Amino acid sequence: MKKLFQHKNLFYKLRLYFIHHLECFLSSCEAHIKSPLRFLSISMPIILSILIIFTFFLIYKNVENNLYNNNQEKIIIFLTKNISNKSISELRKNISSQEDVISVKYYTEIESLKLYSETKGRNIIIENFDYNPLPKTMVILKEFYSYGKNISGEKLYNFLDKNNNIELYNSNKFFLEKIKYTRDILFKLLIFFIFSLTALLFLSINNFIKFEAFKIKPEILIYNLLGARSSFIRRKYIYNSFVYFSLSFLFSYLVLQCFFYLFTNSTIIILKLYSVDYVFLNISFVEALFSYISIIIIALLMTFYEINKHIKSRIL
Amino acid sequence: MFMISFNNVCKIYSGNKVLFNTNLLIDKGEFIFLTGSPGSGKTTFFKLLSGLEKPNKGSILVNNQNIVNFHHDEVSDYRKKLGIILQNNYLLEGETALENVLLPLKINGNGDTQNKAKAVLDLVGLNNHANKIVNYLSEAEKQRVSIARALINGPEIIIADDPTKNLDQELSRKIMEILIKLSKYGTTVFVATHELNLVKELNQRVFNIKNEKIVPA
Repeated sequence: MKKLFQHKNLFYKLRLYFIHHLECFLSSCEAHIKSPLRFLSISMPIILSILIIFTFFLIYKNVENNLYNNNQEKIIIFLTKNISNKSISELRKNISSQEDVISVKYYTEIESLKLYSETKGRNIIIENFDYNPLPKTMVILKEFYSYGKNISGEKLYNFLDKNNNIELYNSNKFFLEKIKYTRDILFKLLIFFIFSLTALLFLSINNFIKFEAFKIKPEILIYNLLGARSSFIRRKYIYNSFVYFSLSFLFSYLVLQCFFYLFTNSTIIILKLYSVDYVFLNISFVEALFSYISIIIIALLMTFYEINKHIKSRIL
Repeated sequence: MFMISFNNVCKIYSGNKVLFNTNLLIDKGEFIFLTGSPGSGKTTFFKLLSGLEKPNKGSILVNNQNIVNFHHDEVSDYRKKLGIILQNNYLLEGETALENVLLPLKINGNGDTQNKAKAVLDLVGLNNHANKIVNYLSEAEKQRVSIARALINGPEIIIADDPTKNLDQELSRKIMEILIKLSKYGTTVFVATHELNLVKELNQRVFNIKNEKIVPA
C-alpha cells in the first residue's frame, strides 16, 4: 500500500485506467448501436433462445398458478329430509374435524334453491314455486392436492358413506384428477423444454464467443506483441461481451413484453365474453434480473476463458 | 556488465536444431546486423530475445534478469521495453495509422500523446497518412507504420526482422540511419536483413547465423 502511494503518477495512472474502462465500454456500445441490423442478424439465435425459454417459463408459471387456484375439492352433500337441527350441527362438527377439510357450509332448502338459481337463472324459482327440488345441503371444501403431501380423503368418504343422515353426495374429484394428470404431463414437458433450451442457449453463447474470439485472434496477437498484460487485453472483449449480451437480453425481454400484452389483452377480452376472469402472470422483476445475471455471468466466464486461451497460446 | 547475454542457448523444433549452445554478449547501445540464409534461425533468435519463445536449454539474460524464467505478465512487462518490427507488420486492421502508433502508449498507460505519435510518423515520412485506415496503405507504408509504432515508446531494445523488406533504397537508408541514431542515444538495435550492400555501406557490427551458432561476420 505504501509503495502504491509512493507512486508519483498514481492518480494519473488511475485516471488512465478508468478512462480505458470507459473507452472499452463506449466503443462496445457504439459498435452494436451503430449497426443495429448487423447486431440483430448475429444475435438472432440468442435472442430467439431467450424468447422461447421465457415463453415456456410463462406458460409453466401460469399453469402452476391455475393449479394452485384449483386445488380444492368441492363435495356437495344432500341431507335427508327429516334431519334434525341437532344432527345437522353434529354432522357439521364431525366433518370439520376431518383432516384436510377447509370449510363446511350448510344451506337450507331455500338457500340451496337461491344458490342454484344464481347459476341456472331466476326463472327456476318461478317455474318451481310450488315445488322445491332441492333438499338441505352441505358444501365441503377440501384440500385436493398439495406439494409433498399425500391426500386421499378416504377417511372422509368412509364417514360420508356410513352416515344415515346423508341422502347422497357428489364430488368434482374425478374432474380435478383429470386436470392434475394433464398438468403433470404438461409440467414435465415444459421442464424438459426449458432445460433443453437453456442448454441450447448456453451452447449458442459458447459458440458465439468461440467464433468472436477466433476472429480477434490476430488482434490479441498484436496486443501480446506490444507487451499488453492479460487483463488489459481481456478488458475490451469482456466489455464487448457484456454489452452484447445485455442488449440481446433487453431486446428479447422487450419483444416478450410486447407479445405478452398483445396476447393477454385480447385473450382477457375473449374470456370476459364467456364470463371467465383469468389473471395472466408476467415475468417478475426478480425473475428477469436473475435470468439476466445468470446469462451475463455465464457469458463473461466463457469470454474470460476463451480470450485467456488465445492470450496464453503460442503467439507467432 | 553486458546488457544482453545468451548462454548456451539451444532451440530445437521437433528434432530440428535451430540454435545449439549459442553464446552471445551485447552491450547497451550497440547496433547489430544479423545476417544468414533464409531459415538459418534469425527469426527464432528474435523470438527468443523478445520472449515469444523459450529455449530448450540455456539462459537469456537481459539487464541481468533471466527472461526464460519470467511468467506471463513479467514477459508482457519486459516486452513493453522492446520495439518489435516483424516481417508481417501486425497492424490493427480498420484502425488509422495514428491509432496504431498510439497503441503502445495506451498499453503503457501513457495516455494519448498524439503530438508524439505524429512526430514519429513524420520521422518515417508518413505525416500525411496519419488519419488513413491502415487497410488502405501500401505494404511499404504499413511497414513504416510498424516502424513508427516500435519507436514511439523509446524502447531499450529494438528488434527489427527485415524492416526494409518492402522499402526503396532511399527510404531503407533513411530508416537505418534513424535506427543507428537511436543506438547512439543508448538503444540496443538488432536488425536482421538480406541487404548485404546496405550492411557493408553502414559499417556496423555484423553477426551471422551459421551451423546453429551466432558468429561475428
